[in-house]
Amino acid sequence: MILVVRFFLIIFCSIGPVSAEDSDLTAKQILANMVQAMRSLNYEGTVVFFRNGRLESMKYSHASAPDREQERLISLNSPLREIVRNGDLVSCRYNDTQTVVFDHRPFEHSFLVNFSSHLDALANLYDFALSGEEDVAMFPAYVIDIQPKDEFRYARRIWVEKLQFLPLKITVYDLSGALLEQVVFTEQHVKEALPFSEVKPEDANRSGRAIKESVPGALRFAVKNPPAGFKEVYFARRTMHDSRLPVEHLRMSDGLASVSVYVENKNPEIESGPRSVGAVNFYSRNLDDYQVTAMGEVPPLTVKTIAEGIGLKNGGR
Amino acid sequence: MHEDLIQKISQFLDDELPEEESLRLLQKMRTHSELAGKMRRYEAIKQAIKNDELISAAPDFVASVSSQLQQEPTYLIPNTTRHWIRHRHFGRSHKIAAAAASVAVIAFVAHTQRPEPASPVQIAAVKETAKPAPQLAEVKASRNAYPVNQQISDYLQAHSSIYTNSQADFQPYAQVTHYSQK
Repeated sequence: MILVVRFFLIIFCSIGPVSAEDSDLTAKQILANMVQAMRSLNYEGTVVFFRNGRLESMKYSHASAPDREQERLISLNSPLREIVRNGDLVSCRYNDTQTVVFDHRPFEHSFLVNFSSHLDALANLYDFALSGEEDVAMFPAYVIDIQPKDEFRYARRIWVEKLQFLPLKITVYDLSGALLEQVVFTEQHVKEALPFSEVKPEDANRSGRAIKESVPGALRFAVKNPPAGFKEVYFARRTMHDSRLPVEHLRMSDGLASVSVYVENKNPEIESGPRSVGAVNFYSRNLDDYQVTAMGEVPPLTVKTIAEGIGLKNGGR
Repeated sequence: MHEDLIQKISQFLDDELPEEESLRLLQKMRTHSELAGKMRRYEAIKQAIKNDELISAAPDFVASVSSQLQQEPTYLIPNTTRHWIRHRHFGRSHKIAAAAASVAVIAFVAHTQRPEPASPVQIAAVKETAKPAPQLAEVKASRNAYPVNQQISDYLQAHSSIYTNSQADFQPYAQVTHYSQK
């Protein structure tokens, strides 16, 4: 009899779904499940962005197919618009003018949170902890604390729904623990399938336009001794604002936080030193004939360290 | 002080005073500090008789507790696991109510945390008081003057989809962003 009971227990445990209800998942496992769920599930809902003291409510949907993913955001307030991410391509259609703007963003994966799937590398920079369980949008959720191990990045907290492992709420805190940003679902629904938006890159030839064009060219500067974990993930030489000369844009990331570095000819009006807007910090300095600016949703020390570590290769030629 | 009041205090402390009279006595103490003081003294005497140790509360103990209770935040959502919502079997009315409640809470929090409700987001130039402003080097390469705020705006827009320019000839993506450096 005991053998029979054991047999059924083993069978029951081996075929049960991966759910926190019946297993003790670690924070890292929950985050790994979240990254996978964000990419593979079809889900939609209403999401509220709270950034820089502003609230923006938008309808969100994520459609997934074996060979593609698509994210959509539809604004609920003026200006009415629809933003669609098809892989690397982000497009924005405006309701009033019916124009479409396209941008190539290979370094972004989500409108909600850009979370690296390489959690082992992230674990060298952040401590992950399951700090409790709370309800968000009436769904029970794990509360995961992501605490940086140094002063070069901000702490985050993510509420992950317990059954589907989708993120319900993401918050960012400054070094003193004050809330900087918040993204929260007020409702969320998982679907069997969701339609893909009809926006196509070919539309750019008619009513849309690329807002930036990358100019091929080798990186003319290097970043020495950046904060631990920050690696170069993207580079483009872009035409930006009204400068005739292109601006070099280097993006660095530690897998969660990211910093953009811009190098261009000096603007006499821009002062060297730090700036900030909401959670984003800037640091500008002059380097020979160039102006260097590092910016990102990281502490002021991080952008300053990166900006001051930039050196020109071969005199910037 | 009337003898009958003193008698009632004594009866009250001995738990012999009827409930209605006890309430009247307590109400009277609110306005008559002398009566309240008498009550504390009698209580201390009674306690000293019964026990070896005397624990005397400060005269403003009740008032301070009452004040702190009034300052306690109201928790709208109890932090307890509710088993009845573990599964997603809700009616439409529940979902709408939840969404509305969430938005209301977020709006309230945002309202209380927003430093300047009516003004657009501003770039705050962080002053470095420890060292003087650096001198700009001689500009060798020519470039047209370009508004600083617009330049920073362009940087933000290139950095992330959520930061986009609302002043140029294209509209914001996920968030309207203004800059007005002072």
